[in-house]
Amino acid sequence: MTAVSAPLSVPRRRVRPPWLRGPALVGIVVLTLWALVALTLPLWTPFDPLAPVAARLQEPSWSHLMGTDALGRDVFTRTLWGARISLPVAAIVIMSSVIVGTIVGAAAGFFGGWIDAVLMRLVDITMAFPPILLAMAITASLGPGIRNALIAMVLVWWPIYARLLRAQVIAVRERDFVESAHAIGASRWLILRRYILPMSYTPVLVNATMDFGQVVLLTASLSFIGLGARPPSPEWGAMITEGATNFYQWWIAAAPGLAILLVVMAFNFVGDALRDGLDVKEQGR
Amino acid sequence: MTEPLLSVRDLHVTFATPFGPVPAVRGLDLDVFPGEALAIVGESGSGKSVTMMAMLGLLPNATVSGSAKFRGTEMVGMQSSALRRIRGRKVSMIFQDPMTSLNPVLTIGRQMSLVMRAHQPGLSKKAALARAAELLDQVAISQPAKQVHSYPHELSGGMRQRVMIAMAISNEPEVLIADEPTTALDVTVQAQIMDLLGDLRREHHLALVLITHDLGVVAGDADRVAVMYAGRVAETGDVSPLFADPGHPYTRGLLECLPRLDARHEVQAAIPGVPASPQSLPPGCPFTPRCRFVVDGCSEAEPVLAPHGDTMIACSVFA
Amino acid sequence: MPLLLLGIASLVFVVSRLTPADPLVSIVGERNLNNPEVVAAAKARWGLDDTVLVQYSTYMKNLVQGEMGTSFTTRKPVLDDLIDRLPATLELTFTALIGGSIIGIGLGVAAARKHNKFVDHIARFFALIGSSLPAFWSGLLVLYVLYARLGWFPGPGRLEPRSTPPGRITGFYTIDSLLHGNVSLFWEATTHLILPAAVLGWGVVGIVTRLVRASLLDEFSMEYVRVGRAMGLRERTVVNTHAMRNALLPTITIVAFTFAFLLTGAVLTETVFSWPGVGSYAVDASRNLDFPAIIGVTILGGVAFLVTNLITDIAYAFADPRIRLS
Repeated sequence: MTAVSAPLSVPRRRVRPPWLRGPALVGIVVLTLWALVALTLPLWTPFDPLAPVAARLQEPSWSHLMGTDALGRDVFTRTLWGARISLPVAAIVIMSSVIVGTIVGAAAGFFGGWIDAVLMRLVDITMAFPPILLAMAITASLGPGIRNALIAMVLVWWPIYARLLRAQVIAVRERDFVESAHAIGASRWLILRRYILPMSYTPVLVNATMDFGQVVLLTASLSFIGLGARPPSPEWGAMITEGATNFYQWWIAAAPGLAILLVVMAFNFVGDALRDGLDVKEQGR
Repeated sequence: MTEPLLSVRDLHVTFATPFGPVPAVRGLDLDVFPGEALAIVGESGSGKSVTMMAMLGLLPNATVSGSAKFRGTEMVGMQSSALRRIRGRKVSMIFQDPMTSLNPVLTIGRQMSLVMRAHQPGLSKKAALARAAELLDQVAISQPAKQVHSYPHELSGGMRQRVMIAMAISNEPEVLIADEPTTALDVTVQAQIMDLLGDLRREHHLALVLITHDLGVVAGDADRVAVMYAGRVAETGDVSPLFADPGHPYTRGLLECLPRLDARHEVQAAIPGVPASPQSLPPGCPFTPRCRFVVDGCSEAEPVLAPHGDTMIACSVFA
Repeated sequence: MPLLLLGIASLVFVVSRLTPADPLVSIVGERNLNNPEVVAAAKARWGLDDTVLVQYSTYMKNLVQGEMGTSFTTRKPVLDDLIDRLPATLELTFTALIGGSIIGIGLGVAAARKHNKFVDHIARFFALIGSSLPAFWSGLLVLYVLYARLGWFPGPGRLEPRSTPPGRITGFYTIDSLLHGNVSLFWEATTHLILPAAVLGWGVVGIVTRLVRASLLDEFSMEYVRVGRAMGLRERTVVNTHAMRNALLPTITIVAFTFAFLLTGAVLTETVFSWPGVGSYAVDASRNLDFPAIIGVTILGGVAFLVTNLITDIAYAFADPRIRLS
């Protein structure tokens, strides 16, 4: 639209979709590997993650890639096993938050009025807390454990999606084609389902991908504090707590920490690429 | 014969894209004389904006070769710091969309003062603001002293374009390039802006380069015109002879498309085909796919500018 | 705004009553259950024998007076504990915020100006790691390498174990020791501050760099930036005056967001570095199931968040003339 940029008619062919380029590709590969590991580990794990298998506090070696911990368990195996906790937990948290948030947000945006006001107040109040503090309070109240931590995280996370969906629904609701659909007698429910929701999924998708990493971090943080997964669970945060007590045996904390870093970075890469790719499409640049 | 202020010879501007190099301008010759109004006409993709921008160094991603001299000084290949001193000072450019051309969080006085102080180092902020008010008065903005402190969103489109013009002439340039200055404005406002440009031209002995696709503007306000097609000049000359007796088939086509009050039209005329895409140009003259006078020789070599009556045209058939 | 405060307090009340156990336990603690005096006092103060609604109003009344219960672990009123420990957290978070923002803005500008070149990629990578690192892990890592192995930095805590803190004026050990003229203590406090602030600040750098870079890149494609260049403005002027002014607007909003991150990160970083602030207080409370303390910290967190948002809104209104004038 500006006359200043190169006034060329460049064909609308993409060179390579952004999700197959550079960092995003790395991210996808890493995540796929982790998913595979998490799914198949019991089939090929060399050591039992929960039972002592060797002498305690051994340094990393060829037989124990990340050494052993204070109880003689193989750290590498436990780290891999941690994926079986963190990844599904994060997935459940995100999916539940999206579902709850979508229902609340769509209702608020679509119906407006006092429904909107009440629901949004609830959202505002919940979001008025730093997530970790609220999650800590809820988990402490319900009782420590990974299941309660999961519930707490869902309770903390859903408002984000509620806000997102509400904004999308409001934006789409104003568009002409919704009015026309209304005019020809489409029911509100149909409009919501067929038009509004499908057009809202893009930011949700981007957000959910980035949030995945954040939820993994939060899970680990809660476990680190003692509110999430508890020993002997090989959850990454709990392992790092053990690593903190055995400070000079650096490998005990290093392994789970690296695992977290890899997973979160991978999600960030993919999320970034997703956002760049989908944004461009949206704005038609 | 006076020396031209701007003298472009064989200018080439090429963009590197993922699909390969795209030649937007392919051997352009152009002259701008002091105090005249030259119109550059062409469709989108003809390269008319790119020419001027590349010349001023505003396209860092493009490869520019050939010659573009301002008062004898070669600008192609010049250091960016030297080019910066020419931009806004000797050669100014205003653009199409006044709505987005101004920074919304700064007052217009501040923005104008930035431009002035970039080229007149000794100028104080106060003096610059005072001068800005004077300039706003010159471009017929009412209550200039007050408007200096207002924000762009408080002004209408026409007023903003006037502010742009004021900014552009604030350092007393010798050439003002106006890239489609009225396209984004209402018709009535268009006329006012064109009149303003004309007045300023006469008062400041400014050379005006008018980039446009609107032939009405050309007829009303330009002395000479250069018609561009596919990155080259197809025809150039004084406005009246060119309009009266166009030589190049493209120019003929353009003029035939203009609805006239003194003739009956059955059907809206149009030039058949689509504008040439710089990435896929036919051999020889780029207009051949759409030309109704085409002969075999047209595809052999690209024609160069040669005299045809009172104008210069690049056509193998008519020159 | 007052409605939100009310809402925050109410939500916390609801959370506290989520516990499947008898609320009595969460107010006096397991250990005191056998102490009839303590139990009676608690019942009286918190209305535990009445209905939930009465408990709620008692809770609210108490809260307004600043009564948040007594911590089991410290045996002191929670409010006192919080006031006591707040300066330590503020010292840490402010340092991280300011340091991280400065570095973040610098990196963001550099990355935007040299878009897609080497500097850009390095800056983005650095920022990315900052956003992906679990703060407690990086804290441990940093402590291990820079303190335990290399000995370049002092260990955990605000001061050496045997040092006495300066007389309390602001509660910031660094400022207070300077105000008392005690330079060696100032040095000690500062060196102890560097590592935790750096660990916390890395996350800030992550957020700020990405945001500044993205905002600036958006700005650079703005028409008025191109116009500025066409008018012959120096690149420096274009970046600093035109682009940054606009890019800073969303940055202001992000400060509120960063604050949330800081509060979160502070919780974990303080734990690792044995920093006696509100964050480690929260963690100790969680580990010990010290409910009054947990509740108190949560309320504090909510209030702090609200206040930050309010300040941000005001700052935004100042900075953006379009909002100011409407």
